[in-house]
Amino acid sequence: MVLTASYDLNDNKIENNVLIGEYTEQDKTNIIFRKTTSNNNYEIITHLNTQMNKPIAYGQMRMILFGQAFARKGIGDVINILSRDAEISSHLQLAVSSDKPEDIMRATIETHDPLYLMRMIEQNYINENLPNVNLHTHVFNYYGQGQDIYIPTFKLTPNESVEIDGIALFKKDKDVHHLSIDECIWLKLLLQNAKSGTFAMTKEHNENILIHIDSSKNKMKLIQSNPQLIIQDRLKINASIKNISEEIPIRKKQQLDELEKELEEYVRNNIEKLTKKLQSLKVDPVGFGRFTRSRDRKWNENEFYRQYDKQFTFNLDVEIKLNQIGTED
Amino acid sequence: MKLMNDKYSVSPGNVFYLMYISLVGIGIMNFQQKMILPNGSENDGWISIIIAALLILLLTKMMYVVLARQDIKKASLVHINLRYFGRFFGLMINWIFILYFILGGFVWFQTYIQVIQLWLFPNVNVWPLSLLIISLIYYAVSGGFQSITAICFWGTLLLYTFILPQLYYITPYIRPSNLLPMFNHNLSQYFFTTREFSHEFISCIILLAVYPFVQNPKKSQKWAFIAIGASALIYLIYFFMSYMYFSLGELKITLWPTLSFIAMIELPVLQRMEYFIVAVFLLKILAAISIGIWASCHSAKLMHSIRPSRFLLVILLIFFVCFIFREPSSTAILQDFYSHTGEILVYLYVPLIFIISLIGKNSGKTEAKGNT
Repeated sequence: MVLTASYDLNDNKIENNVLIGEYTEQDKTNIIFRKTTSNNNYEIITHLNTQMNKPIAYGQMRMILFGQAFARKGIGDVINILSRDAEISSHLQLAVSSDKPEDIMRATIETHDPLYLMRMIEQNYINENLPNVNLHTHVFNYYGQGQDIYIPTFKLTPNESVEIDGIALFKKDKDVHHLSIDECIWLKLLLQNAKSGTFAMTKEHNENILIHIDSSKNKMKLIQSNPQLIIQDRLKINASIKNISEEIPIRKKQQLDELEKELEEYVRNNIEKLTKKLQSLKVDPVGFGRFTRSRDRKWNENEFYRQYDKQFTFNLDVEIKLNQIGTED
Repeated sequence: MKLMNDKYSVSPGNVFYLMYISLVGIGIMNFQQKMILPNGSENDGWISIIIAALLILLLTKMMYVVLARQDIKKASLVHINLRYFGRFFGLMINWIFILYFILGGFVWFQTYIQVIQLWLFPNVNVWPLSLLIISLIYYAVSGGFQSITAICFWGTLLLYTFILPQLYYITPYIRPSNLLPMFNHNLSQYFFTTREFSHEFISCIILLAVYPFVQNPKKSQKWAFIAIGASALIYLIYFFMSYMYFSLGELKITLWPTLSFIAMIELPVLQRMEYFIVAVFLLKILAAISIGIWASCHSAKLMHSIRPSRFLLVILLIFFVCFIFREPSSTAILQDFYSHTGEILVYLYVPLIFIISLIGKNSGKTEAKGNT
């Protein structure tokens, strides 16, 4: 059973690696690593079968890793294959690896879990800064109008373990830019009503504060679409303080209010920085296009993205409420 | 004023199951697809579902009026045609209906087998399965009208029991903005979609054949209406779920949208939910096929006194032979043919007999008076 697979380019040939789970005795999984090369995206199973004593099954496959070279060239073909195959689960995860996919996969073998990478992604979007992703959301965005796909990225740490280091932004089916893991939280806040995520803020005298997002609500409003596109966004965040330097006073209600103001300003600046970046890259993972389509009857995809980087103003209002703080009034 | 022995008839409430089964067919698996064709009304398809349901409601009302104006002993499809169209044309129309019911049964049978082949087990040998279904049909139909009603009952429960868990799993992924902006299509697109969608409902004509087997048939009218409401509701639920779950471009390449999002549900013990649902769906398909075949057997009996059990065997033999000579492309052709015949039968025939019956003598009332 293939559980994790990868696509990479090597000398203009496609290199596929797979982790195959062999369930022997109770709860013990043997991981078999196999590698093939082929000229196209379709022959992976055939080539793998030539290396196996049992037929390859891929109905349980839950993770596909793309090498960066492959992702730059385009993953549309693979998404197409996956979306048409009834055996493929919508819960499958896609990822791009900044290092060689082979090394990343080999690094997870010692965990005895052929789905280690998939579980990393899932646990990170449930508990941390990654937005909710799976094959369904990718297929939705890829075939739908007005939103680009975004896929988590993996890399190897110096001591040979794997970490999620951000999100790869795609234009059509090509990898164009990688966001760092710190930027992911801002994307997540724009994409969904977040139930998790943390960010840290450093104040001028090096006092630190770590904020955990309990819940957020994002409400966009289309102010005007022609000739200038203006979207007004209201982001409400319920957050709690995880850690805070002792120097920051938060005993009094007034001090807390000031802190909230500061945080709001900080979040707003960061999100605006992100959207500016997305505009200059001409990618739209947030789905501004999809949102405008739903409000504007005359919406046209090409038209919209022609004015996206220059004639688009994104106004953001952030409202943060800090929970569970004992204050004396 | 009992028409028939209690042994064969069913109580008025059961009309709900019979109607519901005829209205919600295998089309529930992919009706969303038919709305996106170049001239479909896509995210506004729900309007078409409501219009189609109202139309069918009107036609059902007409059927009830026609039936109520018949001599209670002769309130069936066969007798109505013989009465209004004379012996020769009456018989001809009756045979058209018989063939139409059989065709409907075969179309469903073939579509179901195709779902299994395309979605579940691409390499499976379908012969054992189709033989099993054919023998189940024989078993159900030869059991008589009451046993068919019972199967209809189970078939009805089925989809409704799965809706709640489905909603639960789908909710995190739905995007209501997919449905916006509303009303962004033109009239011809609405018309096209309504027409296309109303093909799901054309089996409602079965009511004319079932009617004499209902005790107190006039009371069953409200149950027929409730059944139409319930089926419209289930189509609406699946419509909204799939249009919010899939993006339009994605829907275009999704062959069976309903199955695709059932596949989203993954339980620890049952990872492939859609296999289970398709297996259970057999019950519904079986019920739908059985009513059609029962109706044609019964009509043949009323007309020519052909023994239903013999006629049933003939029909199943036809099924078998058709199945041998089937081709993958023939399913779509048959479906099209069935839908268009049904369109004529339902939208022209029902209003026609409605008007004729209004002009003609009302035998229903005189009979009732005569009895009391």
